[in-house]
Amino acid sequence: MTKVDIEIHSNVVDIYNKIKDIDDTGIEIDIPEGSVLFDNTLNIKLLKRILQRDSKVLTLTTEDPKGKLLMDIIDDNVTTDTATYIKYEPKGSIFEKFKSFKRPNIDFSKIGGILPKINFPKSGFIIPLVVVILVIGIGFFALQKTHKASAKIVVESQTLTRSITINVKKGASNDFANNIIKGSEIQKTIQNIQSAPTTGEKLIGTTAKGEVTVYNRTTTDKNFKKGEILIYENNNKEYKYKITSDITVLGAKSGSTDPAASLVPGEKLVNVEALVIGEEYNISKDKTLNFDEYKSSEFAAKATSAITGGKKETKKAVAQVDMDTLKEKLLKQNKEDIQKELEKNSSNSSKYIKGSEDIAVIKETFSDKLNDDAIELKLDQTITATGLSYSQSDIDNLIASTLKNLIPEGYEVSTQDKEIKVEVLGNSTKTVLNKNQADIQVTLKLFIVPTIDTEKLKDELKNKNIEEGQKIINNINNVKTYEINTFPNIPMFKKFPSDTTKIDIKIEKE
Amino acid sequence: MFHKKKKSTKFLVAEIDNNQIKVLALYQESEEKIRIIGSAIKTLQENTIVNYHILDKELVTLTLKEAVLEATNELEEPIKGIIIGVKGTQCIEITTTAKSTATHKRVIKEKDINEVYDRIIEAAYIQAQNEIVHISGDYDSNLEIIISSNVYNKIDHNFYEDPLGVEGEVLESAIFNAFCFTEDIKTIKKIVSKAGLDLLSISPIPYAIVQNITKMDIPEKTDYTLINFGEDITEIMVVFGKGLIDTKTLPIGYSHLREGLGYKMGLTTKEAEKVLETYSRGQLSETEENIVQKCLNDILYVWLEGIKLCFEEFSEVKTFANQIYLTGEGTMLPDVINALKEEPWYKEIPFKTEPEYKKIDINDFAFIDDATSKITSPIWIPTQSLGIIYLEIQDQND
Repeated sequence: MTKVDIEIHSNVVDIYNKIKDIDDTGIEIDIPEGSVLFDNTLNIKLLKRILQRDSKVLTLTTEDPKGKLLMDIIDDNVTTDTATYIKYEPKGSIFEKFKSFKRPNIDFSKIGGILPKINFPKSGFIIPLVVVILVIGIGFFALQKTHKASAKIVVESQTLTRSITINVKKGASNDFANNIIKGSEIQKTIQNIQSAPTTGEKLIGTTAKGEVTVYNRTTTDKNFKKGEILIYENNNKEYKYKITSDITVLGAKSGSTDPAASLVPGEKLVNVEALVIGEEYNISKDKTLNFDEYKSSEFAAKATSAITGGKKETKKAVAQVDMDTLKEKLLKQNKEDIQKELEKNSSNSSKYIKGSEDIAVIKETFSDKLNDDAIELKLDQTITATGLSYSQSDIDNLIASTLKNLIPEGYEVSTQDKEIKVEVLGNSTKTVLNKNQADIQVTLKLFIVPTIDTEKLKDELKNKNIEEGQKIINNINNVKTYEINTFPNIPMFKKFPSDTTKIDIKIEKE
Repeated sequence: MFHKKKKSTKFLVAEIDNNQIKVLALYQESEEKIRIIGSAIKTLQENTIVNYHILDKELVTLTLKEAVLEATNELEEPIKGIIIGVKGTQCIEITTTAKSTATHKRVIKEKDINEVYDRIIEAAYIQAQNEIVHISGDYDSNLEIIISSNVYNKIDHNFYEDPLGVEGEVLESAIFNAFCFTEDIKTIKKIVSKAGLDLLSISPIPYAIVQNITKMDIPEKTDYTLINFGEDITEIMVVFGKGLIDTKTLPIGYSHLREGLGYKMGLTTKEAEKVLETYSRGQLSETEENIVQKCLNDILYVWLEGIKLCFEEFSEVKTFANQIYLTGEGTMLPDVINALKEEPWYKEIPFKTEPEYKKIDINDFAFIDDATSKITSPIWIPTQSLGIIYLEIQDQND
């Protein structure tokens, strides 16, 4: 299964171009919230269709509630007929006739029926009669204790949708008239260690060392400084060595009194060391070496013993790219983690504004330095994020203040199906998002229903029979339908109890 | 419909797409003739309109004002009346039928007709709401009728233009209704008003195009399917007996071809547009032509699957007429008709016979004259189609 990431604005064509060449039969797409794909169910159907054509199995996931609903609709998990009819709010004069919905017409005479008829024996019935009366009395008492009534009243509701852009400002005071609420600083620090294999390479080893005799064929003494370079030539390659101490080699001298005898060169022993590491600098005894800066006819040297000890090997080392990559990767990981931490910090009372955080790296320690031998590099990084949060109660108060002027007298906000969405607007030419202030959009979708004082209504209903109760409820404005139930379901209890605590009233929006 | 009686015979029509506004200034020359006297296209910034829902009202107002100014700058007097076209998922168009059967023959009275019409309106509203839920999962938005037009009346299976006073048992009527979101209507009204214009009507573009085709002198025009390959979307309209029965919207349009080409060839939108224009004129080199074709084929593959899917979504249509008309920006490219003709996409769709295709050209609209000589591209077909709505309004007012 190959997981494919898509953008919020990716359309079917973009996605197809992205996945058509993937050599995998299983494709998983996590559709982001607010994706354009959710504008039309055809997008999802089409995506499934074309991948099916390409013999690919598509798995779609999303956190978008609308998207989930759409996918359910596509999978036929949602039926629409009844729901839409109930929600149908016709507009305009042509629809006027549909506005008056009929209230339920309950014929209670058909519900209860009559009590069962009991035939008693004609004689010797006094004792059984007393027993029966007692049983009935106790039964009546018990039933009266359980007598209760409930009324479910469905009221006409009006949708109220508002979108408010709110500026959350650190250190500011709440100013509901201008949609400004106080923001608070929220800070988190996290530390993480991550390691990665090194990719750099390094040569390590030892230089070859030995002893040479330096010959002076001139007749004057010659001083050679420490570090003077001697070269050994082999197969057209040069191997360089340096002498390790200052020396003076005496000039050549005649070895006898015979004027024809040749001069004997001056000689001096000195230690040498190869300039670079490696086995190729190991040479055997008697090999000739020449000075880099002098003629070999005047000065030369010969290995008095084998020059040995040169060797080299390749080892893993820390490269700059290893440090940079690890730093970047860990920072990304830390940023994700710190965001989760900040989000975790959000509670019912305080909400963190995603994206407002300013992140600073406060400590960063690598296990090894650049070029150090190491097969693995570790980085210990500590970062701090400073973000902005707001209090949910401030938002609630601002909403309440906004709604105050929008709700007509005699109405209130229904607690049913209340939707409040908060969205961070981000940084743009018109909106701001940083650790000091952020613009957020609060979208409200509420239902306004007529205010009904349920306690007062219970008081009015107590002791009333069903018909009287119906009249009382019918007199309440904006009631669409209602349903009255009494318990036990026998005619003498088809009324509201005298105890208001046994009357349950539920107000529901249509 | 929002009618206002206007004495001026000059009026404006506007088509508001996701990324541009097209405006035409028109003049009603006679009862059957309209003349184009000015035009303008103005580009909108990204995200000003998304999926045909206006997000930035101020910017749209400003752009509409600019477009109107440009379209009318050579005219002596300003034009205020405007017809705004809506399309795609912005509006739902349905034709609904209902019957009223009596136990014996009776003279059809106004009450009988109204009863059938009321039932149709109620059913159409529910149908439209269900369609919206089916398309976008939106349960909450309210809809309003923007156009309601009688398609036919039948009494005992015979057609009557006016059934009033006719004797019969079974009265059957079909009415075309177009619904638009209440919120969108409010937004359009506000924008038009802020732009200093008078809203004559909000009209569904598919309906306007079909009405235009009805005016054309084409023999096989009674039953057909119309594919409008527009800027952002492709609309598929099913027409029976000259009436628009149902419409489906595929969210792939010419802009997808342009953007897809731009993406694959590393071109900006403008450059891709130029390449497509040159390609459509057949002026690219063979190598360039092959590259463009390859890019288009990939996108048209997805588009064609989408077309097929849309046809399958017309659950109420038992058999499709074999005549398919094509219009819109996409028809500038020969590849579109070729794709339809060459691929056996229709095999699993109930067509009476193998589909036949005819491209509707801008010059086919016989009742519209272009005095500016600028309106030559098919991109103007939907906009100029709105002109017919003005004639309908005049007809109704008379």
